[in-house]
Amino acid sequence: MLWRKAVRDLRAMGMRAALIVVVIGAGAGTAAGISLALHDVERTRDSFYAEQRLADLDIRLARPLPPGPLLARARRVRAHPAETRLVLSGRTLLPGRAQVAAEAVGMSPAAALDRLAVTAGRGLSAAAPRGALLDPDFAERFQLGPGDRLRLGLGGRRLALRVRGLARSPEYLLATANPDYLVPQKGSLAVVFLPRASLQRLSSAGRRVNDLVVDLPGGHAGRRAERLSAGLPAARIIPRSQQYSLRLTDADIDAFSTFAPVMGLVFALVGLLLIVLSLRRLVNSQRRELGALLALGYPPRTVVATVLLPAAMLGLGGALLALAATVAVGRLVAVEYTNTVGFPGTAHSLAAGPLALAAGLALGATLLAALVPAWRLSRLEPTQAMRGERLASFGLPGWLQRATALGPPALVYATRGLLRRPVLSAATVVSLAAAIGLGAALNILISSTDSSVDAEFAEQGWTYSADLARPLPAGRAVALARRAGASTVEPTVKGPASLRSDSGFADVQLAGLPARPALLRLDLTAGAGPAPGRAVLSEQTAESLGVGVGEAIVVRTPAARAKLAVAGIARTLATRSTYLPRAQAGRLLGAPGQATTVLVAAGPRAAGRLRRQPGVARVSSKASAQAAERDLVEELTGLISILQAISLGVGGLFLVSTLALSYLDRRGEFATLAALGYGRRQIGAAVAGEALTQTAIAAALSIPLGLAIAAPLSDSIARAWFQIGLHPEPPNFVWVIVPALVLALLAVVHATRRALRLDIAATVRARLIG
Amino acid sequence: MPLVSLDRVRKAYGSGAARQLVLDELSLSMEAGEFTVVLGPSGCGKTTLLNLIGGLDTADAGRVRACGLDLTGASRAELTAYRARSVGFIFQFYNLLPTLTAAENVEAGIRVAGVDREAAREAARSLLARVGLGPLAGRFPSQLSGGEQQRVAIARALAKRPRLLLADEPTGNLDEETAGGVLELMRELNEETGVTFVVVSHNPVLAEAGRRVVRLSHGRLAEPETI
Repeated sequence: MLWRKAVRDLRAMGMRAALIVVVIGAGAGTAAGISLALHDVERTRDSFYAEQRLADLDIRLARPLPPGPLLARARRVRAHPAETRLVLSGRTLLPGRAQVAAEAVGMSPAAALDRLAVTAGRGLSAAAPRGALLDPDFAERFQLGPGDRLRLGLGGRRLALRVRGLARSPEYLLATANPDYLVPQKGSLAVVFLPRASLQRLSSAGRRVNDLVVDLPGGHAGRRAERLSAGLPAARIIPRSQQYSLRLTDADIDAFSTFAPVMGLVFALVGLLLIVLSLRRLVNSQRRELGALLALGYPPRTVVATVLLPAAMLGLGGALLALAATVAVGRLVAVEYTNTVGFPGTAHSLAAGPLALAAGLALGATLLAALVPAWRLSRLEPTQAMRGERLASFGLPGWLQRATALGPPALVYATRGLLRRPVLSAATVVSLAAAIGLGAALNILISSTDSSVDAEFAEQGWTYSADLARPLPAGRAVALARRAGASTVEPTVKGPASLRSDSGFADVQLAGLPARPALLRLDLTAGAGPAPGRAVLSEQTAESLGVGVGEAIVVRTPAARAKLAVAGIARTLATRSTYLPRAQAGRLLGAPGQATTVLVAAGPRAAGRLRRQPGVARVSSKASAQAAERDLVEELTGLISILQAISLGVGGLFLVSTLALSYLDRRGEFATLAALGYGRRQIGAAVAGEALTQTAIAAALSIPLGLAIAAPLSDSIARAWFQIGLHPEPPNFVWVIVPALVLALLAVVHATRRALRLDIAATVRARLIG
Repeated sequence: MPLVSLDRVRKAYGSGAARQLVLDELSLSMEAGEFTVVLGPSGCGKTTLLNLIGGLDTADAGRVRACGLDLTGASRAELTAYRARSVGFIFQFYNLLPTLTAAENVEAGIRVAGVDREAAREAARSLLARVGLGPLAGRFPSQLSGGEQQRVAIARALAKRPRLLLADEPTGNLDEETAGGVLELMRELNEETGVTFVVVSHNPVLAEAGRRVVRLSHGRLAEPETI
């Protein structure tokens, strides 16, 4: 009997049942979908780095050496596999195009470490010595593809190559000309992979190599890495954890992993709210017949079961929809995200956790939402229940009555409609405000990233940064830059180091600055600039070390160890940089009086001449870094747009469902208005007035809510990436509020059309007003 | 010329085997100022007759004219304007808008006819005083008794000064004493204002209220009407 009743009840509910199922499915599915997307993104990252075997350690040498002794060293520290490569810096020679820094990587076509994932064309082959594989971001920027020709300038030589394919490398997943800054500059570095023997032959390096990549299975990897690099003329020692692409993708995913729970939570709360309200409404509408069951002698548990059975069916439908929504949202977000990062594919999964969350949330919330009012109802006296749903005893305090009495009757009716079911109205407003606020928060983060990066670069006096092929005495480095035509030159020395404090450890890049830097200006948030024995840390390094100004730290490089004090803390995009006076940094890095980089204030012509200097490995510009940052933001905007569309879609759905439920509650009133002679425009105005008022309140509420959501996310980004602050601008809100208003209007049109299609004669006779 | 005339009107609901003929070639007319009570058992077509006269429904065949308008061929906009200006309704369940006060409910019935706000407010106040609810004008429907709500509904129906007032079981939801009061009020208003009243009910007691009583049975006039 119960089963038949449940099916008939659902059939009688028709559209209302469908709406409740959609609300259950969308709320739970979106929350779980974001969680599934995070799971898939992490899986994609892990499987990419595992399959392409990012090396545990990469040692770049300052000068090429024969491979035999290097591999013998690797065997002595039980490094396996170990491979040698030749990596040369240069520039592109594309006719009629702006030239960019290039890095030619000569590697084994059958490399076991840092393997290439070919995304177009064919892989490396010893049989095609001039057949090169390109980084897809560079290829896309310069519209190059398999079969195209490419010329590179490496030192004094020019290489004519043929593009054989495009490939992602775990090492160069986010290739950038200036890895100091944790802002990926896609396409700013032309990464060109060639068979090692070919590059050796084409560059006259003979059989020598300048790069050793190894895996260090087993324990004590740090100590073995130190033994392996000890005494080698290392220009860079990059453990896996410090590898730029991995660091950046980790930072990105860390930032995303802080977004995901916030978004999931917002959707889950909003969904839960709507499920509870919908089900409470549903149970209360059956009050009279449940009272009759009680009067007939059915026990309270039967009454509860009578409610729970259709609720379970709705919940089941919602759970199925939630599962589908989870997979759809998860895939959509994960694909967009992994594309933005640059992974060659997305590892999709049907992870049990998010799917169980979707089904559990949908079914659990529905049953719980039905159980509470059903249990309460079953405790009533049958006569009390049989009186049916209590007519709303609507009343307002005098001041509110007067305040809402302004305007034409349709508007008064609309405004009072909001006050009739304050909980439902508040829930709708909060849901919509959360959806708009979330979208606005994402916009705020994007624009804050933009403005903080612009502000950082605007502070800097340099226009180009030239990395030297090998360390040079500072005076010679300055002379080299002046010869190229640079007006102001600032030599710096950079190298890897580790910092230790009482409570933390950090791998950093030590940078030596002149006593009074004119080009690289530090934005100090605490303390003073670098001085002998006193270093300036980035905000992120200070936080990971847990130190403040005046506290002691220990710096260690492959060449030396020293005790320092923290002189100051700087806000910088180069989050890994630690600044010391140049002389002290040079001594610690084993390059006293030398420079590894020169910062210059110069025009493009001087930069061009600087690029052609044999001692210069690569030249990157501030302008290209800014442009790349804008490109990044543009790409992120795609992902953000999807998240916003989901957010607004769910918000819109809730608005539509609230309006539809509200319409169903009040169809008798609309019929009465029609009987009184109110026409299409006036009834539309009543519906629109209510929906638009809710949207307008939600829009106003979304401003503080958006800021409240953005603040912790900005902090998370600061920890994972760099300090972006909060710089809200009116368009951050306008771009979300306008679509929300459009959605509200569409919902109004739908509800108004339904109101106007009512069978007035039949509806006015029914006792529907409540 | 009669204010309302029905000429061989047919109306059916449903289709096929479930088709039910509700009005069968019904012809009837009502003069301006009349107080007509339409009586008959449930399902005889009383409410359908009222809906056709009120422009809430349309006939399948025949012709319905009211207040100079041919309702049979009228457009939706014409029917809306007709309801807004010429007809007032009183329903069994009062159908007051629960979020508007008694005075605002009456105003809502006037302003739809294009009356400005101040005039509507004044008219509402005066009408509520006339139906004995002056002191309760600021109350919401849920704060009024059934009889009081029906009085507000009467005031709302009369507020726009309609030519025709249609009441569907206006006392069906009220106790005997209150129902008597409401009927009395309607009769008085009919005399005072000259508005044509058409009241339908299944309750024979209402026959006493009408100057003219029409009985319906199976969609037709059942017997010679009484005046």
